[in-house]
Amino acid sequence: MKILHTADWHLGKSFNNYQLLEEQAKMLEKLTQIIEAQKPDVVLLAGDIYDRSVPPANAVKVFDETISKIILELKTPLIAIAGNHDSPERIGFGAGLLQKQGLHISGSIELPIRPIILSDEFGEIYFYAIPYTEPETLRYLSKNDDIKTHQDVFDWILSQIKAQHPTGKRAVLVGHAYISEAEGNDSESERTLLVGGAAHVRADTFEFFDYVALGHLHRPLSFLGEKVKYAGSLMKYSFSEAPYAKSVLMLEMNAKGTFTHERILLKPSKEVHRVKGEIEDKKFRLTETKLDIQKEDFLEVSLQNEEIVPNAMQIIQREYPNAMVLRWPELPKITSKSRLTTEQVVSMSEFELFQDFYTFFTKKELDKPKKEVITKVITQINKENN
Amino acid sequence: MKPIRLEVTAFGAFADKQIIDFEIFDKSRLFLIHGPTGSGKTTLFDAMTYALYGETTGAREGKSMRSDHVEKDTKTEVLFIFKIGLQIYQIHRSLYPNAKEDDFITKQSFCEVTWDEQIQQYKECSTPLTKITDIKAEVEKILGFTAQQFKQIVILPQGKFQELLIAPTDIKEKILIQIFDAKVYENITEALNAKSKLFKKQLDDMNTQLQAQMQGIGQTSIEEAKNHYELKNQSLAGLKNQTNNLLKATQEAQKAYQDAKLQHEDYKQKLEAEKLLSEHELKLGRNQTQKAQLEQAELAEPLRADLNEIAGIKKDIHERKEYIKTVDSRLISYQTKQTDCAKALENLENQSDDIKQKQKKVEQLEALKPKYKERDKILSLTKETKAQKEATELKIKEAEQKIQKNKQEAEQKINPEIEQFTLLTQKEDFWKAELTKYQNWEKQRNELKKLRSQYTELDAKLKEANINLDGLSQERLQKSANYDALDARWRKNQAAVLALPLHEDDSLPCPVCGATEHPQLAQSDDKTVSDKDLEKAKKDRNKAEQDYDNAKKQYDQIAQQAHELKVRGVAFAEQLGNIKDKAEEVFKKELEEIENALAAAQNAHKTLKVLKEKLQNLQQEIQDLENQLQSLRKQLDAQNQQFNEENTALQVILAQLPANDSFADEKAMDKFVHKISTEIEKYLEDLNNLHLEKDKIKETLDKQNTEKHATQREIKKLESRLEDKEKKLIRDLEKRKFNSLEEMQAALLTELERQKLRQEIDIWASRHAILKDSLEKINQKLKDLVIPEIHDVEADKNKKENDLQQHREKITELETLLKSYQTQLQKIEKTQEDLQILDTQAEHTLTLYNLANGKNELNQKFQTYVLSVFLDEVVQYANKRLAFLSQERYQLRRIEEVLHGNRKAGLDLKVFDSYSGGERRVNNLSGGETFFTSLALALGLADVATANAGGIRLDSMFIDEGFGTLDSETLDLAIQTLMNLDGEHRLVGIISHVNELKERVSSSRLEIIKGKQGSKVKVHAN
Repeated sequence: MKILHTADWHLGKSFNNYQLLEEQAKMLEKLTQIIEAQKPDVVLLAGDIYDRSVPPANAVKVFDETISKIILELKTPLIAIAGNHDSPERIGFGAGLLQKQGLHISGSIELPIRPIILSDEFGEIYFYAIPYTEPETLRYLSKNDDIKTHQDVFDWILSQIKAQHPTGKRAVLVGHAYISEAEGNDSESERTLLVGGAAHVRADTFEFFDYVALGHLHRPLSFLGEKVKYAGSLMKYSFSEAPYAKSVLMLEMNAKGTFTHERILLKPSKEVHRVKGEIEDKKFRLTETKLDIQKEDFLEVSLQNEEIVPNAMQIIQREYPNAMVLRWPELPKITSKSRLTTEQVVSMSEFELFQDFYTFFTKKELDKPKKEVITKVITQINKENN
Repeated sequence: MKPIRLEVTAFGAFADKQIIDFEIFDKSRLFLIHGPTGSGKTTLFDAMTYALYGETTGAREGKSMRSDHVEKDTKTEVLFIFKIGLQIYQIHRSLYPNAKEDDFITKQSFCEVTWDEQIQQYKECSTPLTKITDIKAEVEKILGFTAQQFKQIVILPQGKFQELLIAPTDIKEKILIQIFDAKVYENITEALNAKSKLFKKQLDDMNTQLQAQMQGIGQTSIEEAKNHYELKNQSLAGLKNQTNNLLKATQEAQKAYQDAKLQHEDYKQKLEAEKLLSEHELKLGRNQTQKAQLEQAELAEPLRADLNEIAGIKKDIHERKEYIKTVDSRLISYQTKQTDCAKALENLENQSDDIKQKQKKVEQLEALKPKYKERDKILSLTKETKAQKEATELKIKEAEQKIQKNKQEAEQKINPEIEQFTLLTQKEDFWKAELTKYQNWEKQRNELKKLRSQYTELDAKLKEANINLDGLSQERLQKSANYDALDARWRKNQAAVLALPLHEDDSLPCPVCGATEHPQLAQSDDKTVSDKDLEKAKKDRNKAEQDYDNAKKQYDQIAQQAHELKVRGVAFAEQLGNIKDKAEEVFKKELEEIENALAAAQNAHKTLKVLKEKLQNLQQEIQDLENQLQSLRKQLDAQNQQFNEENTALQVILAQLPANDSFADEKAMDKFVHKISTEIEKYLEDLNNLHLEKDKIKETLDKQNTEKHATQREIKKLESRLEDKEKKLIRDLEKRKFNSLEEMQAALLTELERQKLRQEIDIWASRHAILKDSLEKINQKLKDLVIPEIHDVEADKNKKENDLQQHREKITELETLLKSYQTQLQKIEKTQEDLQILDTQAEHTLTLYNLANGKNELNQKFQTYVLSVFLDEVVQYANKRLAFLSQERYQLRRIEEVLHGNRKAGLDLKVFDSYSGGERRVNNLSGGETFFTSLALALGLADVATANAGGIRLDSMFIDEGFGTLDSETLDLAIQTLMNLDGEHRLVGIISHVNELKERVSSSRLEIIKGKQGSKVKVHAN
């Protein structure tokens, strides 16, 4: 069976105040073209369909048009789940009705867990679509108070699946999670799953399956050999993702559950880059030109100037209107204006501080009569305080 | 300060008690409070502030926090447990209306607590404070904030969040002073101010004083004053010279006056002496009277004794007469007594006969005593016997009844039952036989069932084998055909191979048969068949054939088995006949019935035995009772006889006793006798007493009469003596020339009085002599003297004295004036000196104060100067977060430029925008930008405060709204900032109704649910 694995579309996202929906629509068109060419037997969409739980109206329209094309025109079944950015109930709307048409969309987890069974020439493949679930939700549904972390959530779900899955049938999981071994490979655009940690799931939890199609992390990563994979996001959604190309995964699974895979690259119309440059004579130019930077690309500019340039952003945007973030590493740090540090202040006596204050403003030392006056005042105050 | 637990009742929107346990959020460090508008989110912070300080955030007053949803007698209560460092404290406040409902009563308590593992609760471990002021002071001490500052720094309330950022220097100063404990610097500046003012006042006072002093001496300058002083000094010297002359004149005048005075004195004395003498001579008359008195008294004295004696005798006589009166009255009373006594005696004499009779009766009764005894004995015996009789009769009746009962039972109950059970036992054998029959049938039925099921199994197997066989047969055919086909092809191929050369040249002979004509040349077709293929096909065919054979064998075997079974089954069924058709339940029920009947029959044996025994017992009992009855009857007869005998004896005795003396028993009789005896005794005694009394009375009467006579004789004697004495006295009076007794008595005087008279007479005489003598002497002295006029001399002397005096006064006045003048001059000079010193000091102080108060090029006060160091560090920390939140666009800077003229500066902030390269004022930022800049600043402040300030710990922070101003991306950054705060002990709570927050912080939140009867708190946490 041919399987197309994609995830993390984040439709409707705004990127540094730039509405990406148009670019996303173009990207989805390219995706449907790939589906038309490759003719997979099923498309897996592993979560984070939208960027917010209540997405903008146009984003919903784009999604609607895309899946209509995939299912009705290209007659390819689609299995989709909600991710942590999505609202489970809204995504799950009409799931029962849509199933008949070939759209298997799972918004919130339902017990008992029912697989989606598709067949190829070798037999049946059981697809388990598990949407993103908070431990609290599952605790309530399963009436099991021991479920506290995401690891617990998946352990429990796996136990249910293993109990009911017929031996000999191939199994594929579609899920949305943060694999603990992926630590260090996340990007700035992923939302932290749990306030207070414990959101990680170990890769070996999924040993049971023949393939695990995951979403959530935006880079295409693999674990447990090639069994557990992230397809990566549809586009680059933060500057930390700039070096990594985006793609979808195409798999061909055979009778025994092993498969071959290839990455099909997605090329956006506007790229995302991190660049270095400097401003001279009120003009901006790039200092490194290894990358092929187009005028319309989204840029994070690291300005090399050592002094402040007025209206730097304006100047940059004349050349590259989509420059979004400006970083200035060489700018001298704003130092404290005071000559003293807090440690000094805390350790100096009131008299010493006053002396310092006096000398700073009058450029002279305190003469004897003034010393007497101030000493008397300080002594009196200290006596009153004790 | 880290909150641990909060409980609110009847506070704000909360009616019932709501408990929030903040320790649940320890792991997540960030929690969200959300709910609809007005549900009570801010109220929770109000409750915290109220618990700590008794005040609330924002504009809501303490009393107005009482919930509207509760009854009047429900108390508003807030309990707050919190931790500072390692100490845990607990505050409890309650608020409720007083009896009249016009005001509120508050109760509060504050104490330290520790966690008790055993009872799983917090326990008090110090004495609670209960006064509002005490608690407030303590809270401010341990927290380090006043209520005002708490509201600005720890709880960043709705709308007030930005104050720290936007506030001008003077307000920032107050906040920073509190946090960094820098009040002392402010105090120094203020002290300088106070001191400067003090100096100024002192200077003014001193100047005024100087002015006054100058006015006091009426001069305008010191030189003039000094000149004035010299002049005055000179005139003083002149005056002093004149004094001596005046003094001399005065002394002379004084002497003259003295002499004149002495002469006047003497003259006065003479007049005095004359006066005295004449006065004394006026008393002459009195003196003479006294002399006469004395004479008379001396005459009357000897007659005194006689007078006394007469009086004595009169007294004796009177006494005795009184005594006689007494005796008379006594005599009368005793006579009366005598008469009464005689009467009583007569009475008793009359009763003597009666008494004699009584005595006789007593004797009689004593004689009959033994008979009465016996009567009593017999009476008691008869009573006893009667009782015994009655008992026996009762026993007899009982025994008869019992016999009757037993007989009844035996007949009516036991005998019939015995009959019944005997019947049952007879049927036992029958039921046993039935049981055996049925059990056999059961066995057979089971056998049949087993056979049937076995047959069914085999049948199924057979079918299966059949199918298999079909399949294999087909397979066999197929493989066979396959092989044939292949074989044919192979042959054909061989043929084709052989025919190959013939295709090319069909004139060649056929290698097989040699024919030269080839009407049907074998063609090779595409599909060549190898030897191997053929072999394989052959093998397949053979295998298929074998499989088939095996399967067929198996099939036959099974068929055979099935057939055998069937035969057996049929035989069995015939044997059973229609028994086999009976339904299972029916069969079982019948079996059960038989078993029950058999059991019943067996039990009947036992019961029968028991019944027979019982019958026997009853009969035995009847027999015993009849025996008993006989002996009792005998006993009754004996008793009856005894009774009769006793009765007879009783009658005999009764005849011997007197008829009318029917005493109940011996005792009654004794009592009667005793009574009579007592009466007799008394009579005899009374008689005796009366006789004695009669004698005594007579004796007394005689004695009294004798006494009376004696006294009368004495009186007569005394009276004659008296007469004699009186006669004598009269003769003496005449001799001494007294006219009457009264006169003589009047002239009597005591010894003391006579002596006194003598003395007075002598004194008068001697004094008279003295006075006369002294007058003589003075007259002698003043014989030829002339007295001058005293008044003129006196006048002259006085005038001279006055002049002297005035002169002296003038001098003294002038001296005094000069002295004071000098003193004043000295004072003035000193004042001038002091003034100068003070002036210098004031100048220094003023300079210092002005500088410390901000009069310098940066308009920075001293405390600002110090605080700016802290603020710089705060800004540094704040900028780290701000860089993250604004993606390195904004940086906070402290500015030192003076913005407006005199307005104090040094702590103002501006924001540097790297995109434009310029600085912006903080109130020029957008709403969202202001929010996250304020947030960065607040966090920076918390970081620095915890590191530096003594004692103040910003372990928790609460942010009330503001997140609505952020767009989705910035909201993400803000959440991430809050989630990534360093330090394990920090807790951040945010209130927001923004929906996105609810989803991002979904596993660590407090939901406030608004209801009609108040709001409720629901916790969502892992």
